[in-house]
Amino acid sequence: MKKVMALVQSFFTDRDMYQGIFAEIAYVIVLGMIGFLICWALQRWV
Amino acid sequence: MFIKPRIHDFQLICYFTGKIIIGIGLLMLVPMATAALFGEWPVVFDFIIGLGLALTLGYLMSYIGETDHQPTWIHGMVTAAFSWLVAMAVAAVPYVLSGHYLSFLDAMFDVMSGFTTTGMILIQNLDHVSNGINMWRHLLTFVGGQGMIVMALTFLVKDAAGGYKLYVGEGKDERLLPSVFNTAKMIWKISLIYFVIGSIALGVAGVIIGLPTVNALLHGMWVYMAAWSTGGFAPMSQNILYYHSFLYENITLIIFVIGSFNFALHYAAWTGNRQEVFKNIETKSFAITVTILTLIGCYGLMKLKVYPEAVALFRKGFYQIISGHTTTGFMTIYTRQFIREWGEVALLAVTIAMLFGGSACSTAGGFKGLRIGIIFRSLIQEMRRMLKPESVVFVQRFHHIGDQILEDKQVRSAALIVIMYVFIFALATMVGVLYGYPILEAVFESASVTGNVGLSIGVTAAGMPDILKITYIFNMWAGRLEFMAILAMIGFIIAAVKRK
Repeated sequence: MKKVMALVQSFFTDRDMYQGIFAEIAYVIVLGMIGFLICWALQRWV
Repeated sequence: MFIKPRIHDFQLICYFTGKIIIGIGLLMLVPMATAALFGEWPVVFDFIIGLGLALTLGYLMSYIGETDHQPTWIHGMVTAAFSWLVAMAVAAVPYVLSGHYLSFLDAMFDVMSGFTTTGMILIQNLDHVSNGINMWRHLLTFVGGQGMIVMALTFLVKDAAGGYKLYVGEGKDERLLPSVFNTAKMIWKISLIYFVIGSIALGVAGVIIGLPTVNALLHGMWVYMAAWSTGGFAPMSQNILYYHSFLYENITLIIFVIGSFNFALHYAAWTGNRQEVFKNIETKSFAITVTILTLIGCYGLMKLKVYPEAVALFRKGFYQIISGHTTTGFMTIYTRQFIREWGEVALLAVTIAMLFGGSACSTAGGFKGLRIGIIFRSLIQEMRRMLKPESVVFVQRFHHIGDQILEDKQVRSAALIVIMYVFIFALATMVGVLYGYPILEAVFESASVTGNVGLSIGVTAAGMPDILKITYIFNMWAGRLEFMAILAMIGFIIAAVKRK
């Protein structure tokens, strides 16, 4: 349990870690926006 | 050819397999505790039987296998392949005892589907499965995603020399840290931190959409486990469609795309190299193929006016394509909608996406983005070579955790594995067609099991022929371990049975 708590704590204290996580989430959001843009464009023009 | 194995070769394989079986047994304590917490006493007894069997077999194998010899590559490879088969049989015991399976083969199919993070199911009456069994289903897929060898290296065989040989045998060939044991620990650290974030996010989303709090938390945890390991299991038979929530779908999408990343990429991004997420050959290759296949697939759907609105097209079309591409297998449509509504163009796009798969050294299956990127780069190199004078020397580079020069052996290795994938994909398709399934359905289902995806067009059912179930089990197993361990095991068996 201590190890799990240390892990959770490291999320808030380790700057590199949470910025890395945000970078990964940002990649997925960009990809999702591309996907949505394609869907919107197809709905508009097909 | 292999040298004829001696007794200590069998002992080493037996020893490490025994350790992994002990690990599987100890893992049963989690669903057992869950079942006890919810007062599901018959399920607790099912797990006690399973645990007893696993520990007895595991300790017996470890005892028989104790030797002073050190493992070599062949032991690591054969252990990786063999242990998955023994673990499949052991982990199926609580399934069979639960009464939700028509046969032991069906239970083993579901275990292999979980371990390999495929997500195909033969379970009966899923909507009324106990919490204990649901915990076991999702735990199997979570552990399978990180790798059973990774689990064993973390908790059970720390002192063993040759840990790296076992690790490679499981299809993971990148060390995040110099020590393979620390690499295994780092893989768990990454997964557990996302476990906390993902489970909370899905739990809150569950409460928002109206699930009772306890159910929201349990579903959040289980769906996270299946999403992160690109597994595709869900506690309800309607899969992600059950939640009817744009929010829930998007959270799962974020988790399973990140889950399909290379662990080396996670480690690089988490240690200050954030640009790696956007520069890596795998994430670039993934973004390009997802974009092209979304264009093709969604064009096919739009042409047929299946989903005439952009939001519906995103939630159904894009979601299924990206779920297939990351080899997750989460579905927001009914199985038969693929064949009845989707049309051939969209099905083709999903089939190709399933074969391409996620990243190497990740929880995902398929050809992998790294190999697609390498093969594409080598094609460009060959084209440039043809257009320039013979005396010109070309150096092709690619970026994967640092700039690398493309070497012939990398191209050869990537091409070989892709050819093997195509071969077993064709094999399973042929078996499906021989049993009378339409070619399109056989192709789709075969791509799904070979790429460890889990999207189903309706072929996978308890009533399908046993030979087809065995073929699919083989494809899931071979696809997950990426062939080398299986080829080593076949070679080992041949060497063992030949006279000299």
